Amino acid sequence: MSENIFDISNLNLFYGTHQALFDVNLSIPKNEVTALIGPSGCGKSTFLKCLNRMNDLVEDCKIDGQILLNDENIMKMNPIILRTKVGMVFQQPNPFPMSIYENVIYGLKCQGVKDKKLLNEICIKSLKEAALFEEVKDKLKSSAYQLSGGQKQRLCIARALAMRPDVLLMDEPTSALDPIATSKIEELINTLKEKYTIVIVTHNMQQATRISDNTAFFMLGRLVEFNNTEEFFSKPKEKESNDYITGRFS
Amino acid sequence: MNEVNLTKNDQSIIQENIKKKRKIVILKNGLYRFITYFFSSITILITAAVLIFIFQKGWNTLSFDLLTSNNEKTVMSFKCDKENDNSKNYIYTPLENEFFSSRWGIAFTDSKDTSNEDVVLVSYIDSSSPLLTNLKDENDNSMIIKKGDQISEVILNIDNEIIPVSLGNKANSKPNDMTLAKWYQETFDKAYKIKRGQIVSGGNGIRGSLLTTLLMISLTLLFSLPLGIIAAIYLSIYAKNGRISGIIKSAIDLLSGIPSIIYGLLGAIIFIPLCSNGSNIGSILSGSLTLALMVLPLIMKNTIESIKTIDSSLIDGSLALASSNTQTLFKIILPNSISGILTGTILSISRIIGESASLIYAVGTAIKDKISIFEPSSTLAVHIWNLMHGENPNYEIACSISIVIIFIIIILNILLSLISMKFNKNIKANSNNLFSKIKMKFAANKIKKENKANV
Repeated sequence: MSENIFDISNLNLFYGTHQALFDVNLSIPKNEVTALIGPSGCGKSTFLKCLNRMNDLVEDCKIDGQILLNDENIMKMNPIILRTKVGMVFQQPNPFPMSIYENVIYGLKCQGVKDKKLLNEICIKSLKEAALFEEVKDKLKSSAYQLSGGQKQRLCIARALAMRPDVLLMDEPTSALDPIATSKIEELINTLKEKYTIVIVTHNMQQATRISDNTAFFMLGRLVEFNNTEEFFSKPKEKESNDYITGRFS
Repeated sequence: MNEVNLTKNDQSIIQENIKKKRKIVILKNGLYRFITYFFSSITILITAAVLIFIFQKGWNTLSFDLLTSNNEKTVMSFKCDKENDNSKNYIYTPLENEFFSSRWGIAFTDSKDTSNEDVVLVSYIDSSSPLLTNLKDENDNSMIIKKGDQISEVILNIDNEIIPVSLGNKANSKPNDMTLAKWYQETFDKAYKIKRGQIVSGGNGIRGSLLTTLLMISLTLLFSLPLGIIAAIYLSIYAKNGRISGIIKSAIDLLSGIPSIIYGLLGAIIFIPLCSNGSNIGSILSGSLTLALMVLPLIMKNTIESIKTIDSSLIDGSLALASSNTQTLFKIILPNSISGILTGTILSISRIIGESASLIYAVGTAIKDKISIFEPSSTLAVHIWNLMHGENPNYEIACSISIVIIFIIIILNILLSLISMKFNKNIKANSNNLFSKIKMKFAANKIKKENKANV
């Protein structure tokens, strides 16, 4: 097995007095796609947001436990530096009200990259990686708001990729999209995993089986099972996993 | 079985109701529409009537001269030494309303000055006319008369008469069957010497007040915009949502309701001593500081409201891309609240232009031609007050100034919407789009004639 990029131990998360994550222990392997599945409200999105400290932005959120990125404690890191290594794509596409070009290079400009040639190069490369370049190559300076939903989401992916992060976190990236756009993004994820580590939250079990190498199953804030995807779906170890997969709920 | 019957009953009750009340519903709708159209028409008519009144009264006195000349008349006296024995005949083909004196080579035309009095203007002067070559002013320096100069109070010596004749401007001194300019021309043709005369320029102009108004707007915005925007950013983003920030926000609402004359008193008590170095006379500076206080709540409120409407997903997106708080503020939050800031600016400008009472206290009412920031002067609104408050209110010029004010506001509005469009060309939701969507949906929600035929 490849080495792990994230090592999470004894993670407990509280929103005020309400506990959302209970003692989560997990290691995320490098250069593989890890899917987080589970019923609504089970804490998978919350867990995902811990990985790039977006939970810090929520009021009254307290985190206990340790999260190591390449053996470095992320709680002690500068959150901005952390987010240059761990990018995120949200459930609803949220491009900025700027041109497509401006959107893609936004993160780079924030980090002080000024060389126009370099910016152009990275922009084109990221758009190609996100499988969007062919569709927008003639209108890079036009507004990002003119794109369709699927294109907007791919733009958000390109924008995250432009930062060349180590890890790409995706929070239900295709739940707002139609099947064709969804399959395009799933294809994308397959090609990306050679260079990036991807952690994806999904409601759709079929999607998890299609694209992920590892699956983590959450329920009621607890990590129930974590295994290689093939094994998880064919021979689940826990009863709850079995119930969820077969569609039987209590 | 029973349950199905119950549902059918409910349905038939509702359908009966619909049939019965149909006429009433249609009548009510008609009444509401009538009321809407009626009151809107009244509002539009009243607005139009006000504008028509102002334009009618003020259009005649509105002129380029009014806008650009000084408020005080400058009078230059001249005299011409050379005697004219009528030996030389100057040639010129006068236009329809010009009267040409071939003896002196000068043509006159009738005109009206800024207070609608009759005056005589010089419309042509021959380059060898003695009035050009031998003219001297009171101090014996040479002087020239130019085309367009207003000439008046001329005293001349007529051929074969000992007593000099005086050409004034009063209508009662000229013969009834001719205009002032023709009278001038005929008298000049009989004169062998011009003893004295006056060239008048300026008078009743609003140049000083126009300049003061523009200066006042710029200075006030210079003081209040940065303060207001930064304070609004602090209150909406950085301050903790405690009781203190709540109190401050209520205070802002309270401040924007305070009548402006109180700000005027504030200005007189605080800013005049501050800015005047002991002389206790107001200045444009003290006036703009007072107005800056007055418009600060407007700008803050509009900026805060505009920041409130920003989509928080944009902020999440920005922070997830490793931007710092300040970068998110300047790249995402501020550009997207430009519309609110511009609204605040437009409202402030309207308030500044309309201010009269507070400036009477905080600056003073003297109409000046030479404008300095450290000296008092009158804005256009105060100038109107000046014209209207004495014993002889001058409605015509007051209405002309009102027209000028209306034009200034129109131009500033256009400028600001151009700026707003430049910033907003990437924003998807435009308020125009929202209104046209409603219009389209309402328009489609009618019984179309073709469908009616099919039914």
